[in-house]
Amino acid sequence: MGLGSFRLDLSAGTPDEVADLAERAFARVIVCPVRLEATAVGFTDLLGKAVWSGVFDGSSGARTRWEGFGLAGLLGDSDGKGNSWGSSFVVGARPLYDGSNTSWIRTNVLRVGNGGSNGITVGTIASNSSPTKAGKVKAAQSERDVLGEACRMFTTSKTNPYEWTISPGGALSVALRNTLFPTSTTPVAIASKRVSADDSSLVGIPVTDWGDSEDWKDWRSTTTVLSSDESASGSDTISSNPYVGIDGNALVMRAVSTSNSADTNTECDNVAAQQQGRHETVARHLAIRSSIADPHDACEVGDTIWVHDMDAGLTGSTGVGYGGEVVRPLAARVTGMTWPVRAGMGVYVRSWDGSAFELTDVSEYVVFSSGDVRFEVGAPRRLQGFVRSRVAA
Amino acid sequence: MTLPGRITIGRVGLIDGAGNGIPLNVPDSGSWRGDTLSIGGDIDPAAAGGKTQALVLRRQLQGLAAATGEVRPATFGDTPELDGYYRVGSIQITSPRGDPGFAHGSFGWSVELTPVDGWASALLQSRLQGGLRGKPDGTANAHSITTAHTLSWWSPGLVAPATFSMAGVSGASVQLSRPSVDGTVHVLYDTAEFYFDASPSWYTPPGDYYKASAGIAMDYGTGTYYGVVGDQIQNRPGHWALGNGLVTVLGSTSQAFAQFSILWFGGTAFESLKTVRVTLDGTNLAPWPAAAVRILCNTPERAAVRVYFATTGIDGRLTLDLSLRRGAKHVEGLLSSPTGRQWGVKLATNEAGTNHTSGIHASSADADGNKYILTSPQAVTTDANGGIYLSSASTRLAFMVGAELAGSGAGDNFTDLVFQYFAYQAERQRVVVP
Repeated sequence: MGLGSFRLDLSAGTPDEVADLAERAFARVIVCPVRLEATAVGFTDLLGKAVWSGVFDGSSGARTRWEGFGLAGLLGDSDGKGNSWGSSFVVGARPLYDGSNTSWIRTNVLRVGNGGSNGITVGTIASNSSPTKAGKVKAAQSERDVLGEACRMFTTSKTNPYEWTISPGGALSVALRNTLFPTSTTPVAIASKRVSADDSSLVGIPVTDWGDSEDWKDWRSTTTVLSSDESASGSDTISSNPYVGIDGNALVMRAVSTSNSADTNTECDNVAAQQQGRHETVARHLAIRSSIADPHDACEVGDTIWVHDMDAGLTGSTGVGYGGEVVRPLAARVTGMTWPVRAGMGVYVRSWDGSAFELTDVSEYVVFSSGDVRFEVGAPRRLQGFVRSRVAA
Repeated sequence: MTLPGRITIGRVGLIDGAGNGIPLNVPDSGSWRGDTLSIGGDIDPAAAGGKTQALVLRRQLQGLAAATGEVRPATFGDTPELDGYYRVGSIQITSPRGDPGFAHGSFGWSVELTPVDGWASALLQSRLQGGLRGKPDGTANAHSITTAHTLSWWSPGLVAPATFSMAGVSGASVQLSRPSVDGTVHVLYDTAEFYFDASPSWYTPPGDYYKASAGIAMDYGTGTYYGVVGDQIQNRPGHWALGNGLVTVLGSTSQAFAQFSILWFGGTAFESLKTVRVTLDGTNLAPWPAAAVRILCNTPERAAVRVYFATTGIDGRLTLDLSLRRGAKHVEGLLSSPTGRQWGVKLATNEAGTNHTSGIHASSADADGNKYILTSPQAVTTDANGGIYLSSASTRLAFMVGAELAGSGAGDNFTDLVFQYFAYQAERQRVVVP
């Protein structure tokens, strides 16, 4: 899961009490799809209805433009600052998560009893005492880095890895992808240029522009992963290579990288298999522009949706009934969403006044925007958390 | 051939095989700037055949305006050497201020047409994608019908000897000729699922483009159905029609039942009118009249409408999607409701039926020599008088209504029509512009 970011514009006539909130750095910004009376709805209920929450960390334009990052940044911002470690150490074998005992997520991510994680709490994470895995934490790694590594270590299936999300309420949930995102197996939304808004079976995402591109720039035939001291290594190779070099023989594209956490050959094999699995097919990327009023009706980041357009080649093999006919759309994952805060939404700021939290409804001062929602769909390009080593010429 | 004194632009001005349609008279003015032809004229109720007809013609031109930038065939009765495929440019419809024309049906129109490359002999191409039909929830059909049973099929429309010239079709296909009101329709079907992934191309002269194609029409109060151009339709939920020259499906004005009617072309005329009613549980009829209709698709390869019924109380909106493909002898339906019931469809007039896997068909021919077919991919219980209903409650019912006409051979008998239904097909046709 990426950091996320926000930008909010307040009108020039915003009263001082509200504009002054810009001095309370790291205040929490919450967005709800409708404007609720903050005084009538309890804060917990407000969070339950929120579609997004982030942390404010800068303003400009005489404090009328506010910017910040998503809650995931509390586990490590874009520079890796958070409750991170100042020195490297070995981590003894422990399960992924155990609600009351030492475990990767409890101890080395949420750091319960050891400084915490800036308020991120446990969401839905299955508590088990096994299997256990040992590993390493390197200096300068953030809790978010360790979370990513822990998910990779415990993943056994290329197609159903461990993933994580943080709710607008600040709760961290970790589970296998198909559990965390049921739409992975059964999408509930379809993006197409012909949309039936009232179809009972699927939510339609009307597409103005596909912004499609596809490439094989990250495709590899083999992935090799080394441990950080190069003492252990592992690899995984594509089972059937359809591509050839200019001589007609199988194309050899080996990607070599280093893992901070994998220590043994088996772990390196595991990590290599996951990386290989992500780059074995065409990387198709869509930057969909849509006029949809509220994208959260259709999907959240991480969900899988159907995309359908015969001209753009966005078709698959499964028949899906939509708009009175049966079509064959392609399943694709939403990896990012940029959406405008529209008139009618509620925007709240929860800031610390020195001794207590204060909740301020700033909705009436927000300059709401209109315009398209942008869905990033398809394989994200960048690998996060790994140091790429270059093969010496 | 478009008659002298008349032109057609897309479906505007088209007269169908039964002689229905409102002619568009040769424009009063026209000019070329570069390649682009600009033509314009005046419509008045007297020339169109009445105020209603003039307003229908205006509606058709408005539908064409929504197709700006797309390619449409145009034919010219007086100058057939201009017949061809044109890209539709800007369209204007005007009523001068002070003129009562806006309400009374007299207006001026102008259209810009730019011929596409190879305009007189442009190739048409369809992208086809299909597969084995399953239940509406995506799971496999309840009758163990497999891909191997299906007959994937496709129709380019009318067969016009010496001008047809198809490519991208399977040499192993069986070719059928189905008589339609516009002439003989060419249908190809394949036992090896060829049309589940195919891109056939063919040539059709612009004057034949809409013959035996799927289309939508509406009766605006005169008793005659006029073609609808584009995706917008007036809300006359009892007066719409889906047609492809072989099958006509009609909306119903009944205030007592949720129903529609269907007829088949028997060689000389449409016959075997059957009224199909929605049932709540196989026996009790849905007592809700149609409240609204809208177009889901209005292209030559497929026409589909969605009808909404005025359900009462907290029952939840009942919608009926009806979809007709070019060349099909059956209409595909999907009933949808938030309320789970043993939804069903049955003939309004009892006709004894014999079960087959997946549905029921007439035990003996009706007065016109034809036998109805009712089939669903879901598990259904049959009503011996001509009905099917879900064996267990669900929020959706997928079904097909077809007919085995008198003298039907392979490809047209009920078994083959059922296997053609089980081959779902999505098709997108376009003019190939080099």
